[in-house]
Amino acid sequence: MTEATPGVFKKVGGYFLKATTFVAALNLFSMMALTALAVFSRYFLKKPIPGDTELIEFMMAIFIPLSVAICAAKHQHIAVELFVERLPKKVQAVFSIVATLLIMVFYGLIAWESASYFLEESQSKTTTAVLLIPTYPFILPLVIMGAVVVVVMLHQLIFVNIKGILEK
Amino acid sequence: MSTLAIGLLGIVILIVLLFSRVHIGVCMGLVGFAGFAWVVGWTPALGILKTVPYSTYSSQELSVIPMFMLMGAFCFAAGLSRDLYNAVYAWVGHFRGGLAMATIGACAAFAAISGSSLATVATIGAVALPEMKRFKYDEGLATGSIAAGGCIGILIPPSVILLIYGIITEQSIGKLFLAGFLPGITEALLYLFVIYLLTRRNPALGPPGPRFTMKEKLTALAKTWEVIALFIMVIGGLYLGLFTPTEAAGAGAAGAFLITIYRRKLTWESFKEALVNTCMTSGMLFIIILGAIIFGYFLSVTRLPAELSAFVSALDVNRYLILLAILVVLLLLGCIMDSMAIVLLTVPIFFPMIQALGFNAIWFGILVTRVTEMGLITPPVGLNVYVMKGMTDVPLQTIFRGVTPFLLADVVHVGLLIAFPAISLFIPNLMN
Repeated sequence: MTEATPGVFKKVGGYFLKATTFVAALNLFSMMALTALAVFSRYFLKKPIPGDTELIEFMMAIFIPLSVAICAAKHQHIAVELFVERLPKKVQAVFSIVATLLIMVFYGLIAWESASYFLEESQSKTTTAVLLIPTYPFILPLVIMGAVVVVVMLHQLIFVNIKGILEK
Repeated sequence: MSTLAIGLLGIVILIVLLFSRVHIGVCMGLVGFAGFAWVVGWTPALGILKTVPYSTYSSQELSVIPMFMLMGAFCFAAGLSRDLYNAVYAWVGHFRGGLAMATIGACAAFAAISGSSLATVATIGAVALPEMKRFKYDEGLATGSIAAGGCIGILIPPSVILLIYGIITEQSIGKLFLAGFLPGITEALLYLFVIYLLTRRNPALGPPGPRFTMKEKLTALAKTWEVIALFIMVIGGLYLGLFTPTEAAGAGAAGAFLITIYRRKLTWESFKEALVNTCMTSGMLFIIILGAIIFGYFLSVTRLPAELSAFVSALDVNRYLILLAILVVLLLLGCIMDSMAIVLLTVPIFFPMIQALGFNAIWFGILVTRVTEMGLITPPVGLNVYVMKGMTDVPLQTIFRGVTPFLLADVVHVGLLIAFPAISLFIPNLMN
């Protein structure tokens, strides 16, 4: 969020980011606890936890896409700035617009294709082998990830890139 | 256009995009997607975008990466870095340059519980820098030793870069971790030697600190028992085959969490910070992993890596010259790019060549890691130097001047690793 972001977007975006971070962090911690518990249970209680791998896979499927989205919202993804930052400001702005558009295309495609995958899987009723949990709900975080990054980039395009050029 | 030419064109476009402010993972993903669509068709390319993100992000095998990062984050929260520094300080602090030596030692020890160089610099730097300032250490030596010492973090297990290398080349992560151990130790020894030489030539660079009694030394050492126990549990468990890498990471992270509670350092803030920081770093890393996997699909349909390795192995040139050329490319990339991105981008191309040339895959993994980590202290990017800069008001050029002697030691170290593969392979060979 920038100074130029309208207040309502800031508020909604802030709540959404907090909720997303909470869910991602909760899944990360649960993943750690479950893995450690599985090891403990296998060695000390001589009882493996059935379907632990499946549960970890689902936690990953929630935690990673949400983390990617949080990272994008906080503009933490890695890009090489070295050459562009030596160019004149106007050329830099053009590069930033092109980069933002390309990022939107990539995440937009992922969101679209994941949504279609979600629909296909929800019809086919695929489940895991041990716990018989349906897999399709866990594709949704990818759709959220793609959509969030597209919105963040759109915000960047309008309120930072284009506004910056107009102000110059 | 032949598929090989499309592959080469793809690499050129990728390089252009990389320098155009596009996120690294997105560059690889987009070029991989478009290239695959060109060679095979749009429908299969869209199919990749449909299934690969889910299969990658729900991989149990890849859960090892965030869990090792979480282990490092909890160790940071537990304040283990201060005790580690104090322990080494008690033993070597009274030598000339002793505080800088203690910094290197503490970096090596912290590396054993953290997989990240940047975390090592930030953690040890926060403890070591005020001490070195107090004893009027030369700013270059003080900041240079911390920035360079942080590099050890990438080599001593657990190491995120070695994890990624192991996953993409399908090598044993346990063996890779063990292979990184001696190179990490020899790197630390070379750094200590550099400090010794520098302070011998000019004692004003690093005045000696106070001398401790044997009782104080032993007490300081005893306070680090948690670190030793955690390291033995994780690496010992891997070595003995008790844990898979994922289990070792999970147990290690849980162990670090319990240590934080035991040391009464677990506050809601520190707990939240450890989890959120791990989420952020994982997000940063996993988009690059996804991009690299999609790019890998494109490379394999163009047969570029296979053709390149056939071409290179047919060359009438000493294979070590080719290895050297590869390492120079990695070093140059290391100056401008993140080390994880370099490994994900270049290893799928170079690895088949290395196999065709008959080099050991584990040994090559150590070399790749060692060379890319040099990029952390080389200008113009040198991330460790920037982390250091963020913690002090010392000018950037002073820090770069300070790391220069350590960089020379790095060159010598890479030479040693190439000349004596046993430094890397001795311990993993015992595993057989």
